[in-house]
Amino acid sequence: MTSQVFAQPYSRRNSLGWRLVLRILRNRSANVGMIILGILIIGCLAAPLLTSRNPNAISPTNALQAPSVTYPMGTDNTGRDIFTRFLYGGRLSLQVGIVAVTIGSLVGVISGLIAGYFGGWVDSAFSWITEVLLAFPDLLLALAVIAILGPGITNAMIAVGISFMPSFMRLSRSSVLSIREMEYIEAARALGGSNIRILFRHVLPNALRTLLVLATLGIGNAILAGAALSFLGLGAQPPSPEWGAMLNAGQKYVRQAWWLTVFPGIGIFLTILSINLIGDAISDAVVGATPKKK
Amino acid sequence: MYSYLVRRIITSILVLFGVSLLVFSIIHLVPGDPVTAMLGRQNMNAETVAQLRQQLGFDDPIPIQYWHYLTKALQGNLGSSIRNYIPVSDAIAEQLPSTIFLAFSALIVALVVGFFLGLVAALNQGSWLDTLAMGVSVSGLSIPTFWLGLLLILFFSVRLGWFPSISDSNNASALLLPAFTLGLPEAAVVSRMVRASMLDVLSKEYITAARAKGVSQAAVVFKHALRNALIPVVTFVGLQMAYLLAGSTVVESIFARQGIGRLAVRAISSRDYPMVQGVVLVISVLYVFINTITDITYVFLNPKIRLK
Repeated sequence: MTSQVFAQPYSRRNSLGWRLVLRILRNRSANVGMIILGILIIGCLAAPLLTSRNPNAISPTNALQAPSVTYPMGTDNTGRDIFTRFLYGGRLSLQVGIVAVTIGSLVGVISGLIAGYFGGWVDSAFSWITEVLLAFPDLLLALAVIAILGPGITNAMIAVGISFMPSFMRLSRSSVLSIREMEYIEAARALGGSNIRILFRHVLPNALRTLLVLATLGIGNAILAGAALSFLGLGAQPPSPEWGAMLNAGQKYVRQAWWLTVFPGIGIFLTILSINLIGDAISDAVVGATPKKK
Repeated sequence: MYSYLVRRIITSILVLFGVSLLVFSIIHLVPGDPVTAMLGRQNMNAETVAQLRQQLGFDDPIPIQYWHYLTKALQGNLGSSIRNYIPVSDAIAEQLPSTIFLAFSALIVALVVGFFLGLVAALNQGSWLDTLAMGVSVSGLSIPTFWLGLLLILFFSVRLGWFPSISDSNNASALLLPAFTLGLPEAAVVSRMVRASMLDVLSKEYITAARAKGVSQAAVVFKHALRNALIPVVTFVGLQMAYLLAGSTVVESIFARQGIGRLAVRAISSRDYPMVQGVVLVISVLYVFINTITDITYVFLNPKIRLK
C-alpha cells in the first residue's frame, strides 16, 4: 500500500482541475461548441484583417444589396456592409456577455460568501435581498435598471449584470454553507487565519467549480439578454453594430431584405448554442470529476 | 404542513414588501433630479417642475412618500401617467388580458411540443430519434425569441402569406405566430424535463412488474409511467407561466401586439416613471403570487411532504 502511494508521485495530470479539463475535452458536443465559438471569436477579433470596410460607413447607392461576392451578407438601407457590421457587432455582443457576467458574479459571489460565512442577521439580510431580486423575472429586472440608468450599451451591461447577481449570490451562499463546517476550515481558523483569508483562500476555491458552470452558461444568457435589450431599443443605440440592435434595425425591412434579419440572428444563435454546449459539458464534468465522499 | 404554509405565506409577504420598496425606489435612484429627467429639456420652466413635483409628492420626506405609495398601491391606485395623464392601473387593466392570453397560448404550445419531444426522446433513448429530439431541444434553448419571431414572420407571413405579421387581436390566426415564438423556447425546457422524468420512472421496479404481467407498451407508458412522470412537470408549469408573462415584452414588440410588456418598453423610452413602476410592480407581484401558489400546490400534490 505504502509503496503504491510512493509509486504515484503527485502530478498535475492527476489533479482535479486537469481531470475536469480532460473530461470536457472528451465530450463531443463540447468540441463542436468550442470549434463554433472559436471561429466566431477569431473572426470578430480579426475583423480589421477580414474586411477593409468601416462598419458605420454609409453608401446610399449600394442600399439593400442582396448577398453577393462583393457583399457576402448584403447591405442595409444606408448601404452599410452587413458582413463588416456582423464582425464588429460580434465584438460588442461578446463584450456585453463577459462584462455583465463579471459584474453579476463579482458582486453576487462576494455577497454570497459573506452571507453564508457569517450567518446570523447578515445572512438573513442578504438572503432577503436575493429573494426580493429573484421576485423579478430576469428581463424585467434589467428593464427596471435601464429605466433608472437610461438606455445605452454600458447601462445594458450593468442592467444585465445586476439581473444575474441573485443567482450567483444564492449559489455561492449555499456552497459556503456546506463548506463552512468542514474540518479544514476549522483547522484554518484554529491556526489563526483571518476571516478574509479563510473566505478567499479556503472557501472560494472549493466553491469555484459550481460557480464556473453558472458563469459559463451565464455568458450565453447575458449575450441573449443584452441583445434583447438592444432589440427593444434600450441597449446599444444606432449606429452601433451590436447584433440585437442590427436585428431591430433590420425588422423594418423584413419584407424587402431577409439578410438583415437572418445574419445577425445566426450570430446570436450560434454563440449561445456553442456556449450552452460547452456549459453542459462543464456541468457534466464537474459532477463526474467530483471525488465521491467516503 | 400548516406551519410550512404559514411560513411560505409570511416569506412571500416579506418579499412583496421588498418588491414594493425597490419599485418605489426606481424614481428616486434616477441620476440627478427625477422631475427634470422626466420632463426632458423642453418643458423646463419652474412652474411645471414645481407642479409635477407636487403631483408626485416629492415635497414630502422619503419615508412618508413610501407610506403614501404603499397605501395607495394596496387600494389599486398606482398614480397617473405623466405623458397622457391616464391612471396607471387603468392602462395596465386594459393591456394585461392580452398579455395573459398570449402567455396561456404560449404555455399550451410549450406543453404540447415539449411533451411530444420529451416522450419521443425517452421512449427511444440512445437512438437517433433521441439525439434528434434533444438536438431540437438544445437549439430551442439557444434561439433568441426575437430572432425566432422574425424568422417565423419571414417564412409564414412574407413568403407563404399564411398568417399576419401584425397581431393586434386574439383570433387564432393572429395569435399563432406570437404563441409559437414565445412557447417554443419553453418547449425545449419542458422536453428536457419530461425526458428526464420519464427515464427515471421507466427504470422503476413497478414498471418492470407491469411489463412482466404482459401490460401493453401503450398502457405502460400512458397509464403507469406518464402519470407519475407528470408530478415534477406540473409544478414546473406554474413557474413557466410566470416566465412567459415577462417574456411577452419582446414578442409583443415584434408583432406590434397590445400588452403590458410593450407598455413597459414604451414607458421606459418616454421616461414615464409612474407607468414603469406600475408595470414592474404588477408583473413582479403576479410572479411572486404564481410562485407561492406553485409551491403550495406542490406540497398538496406530493404526499411525502403532505404527511410530514
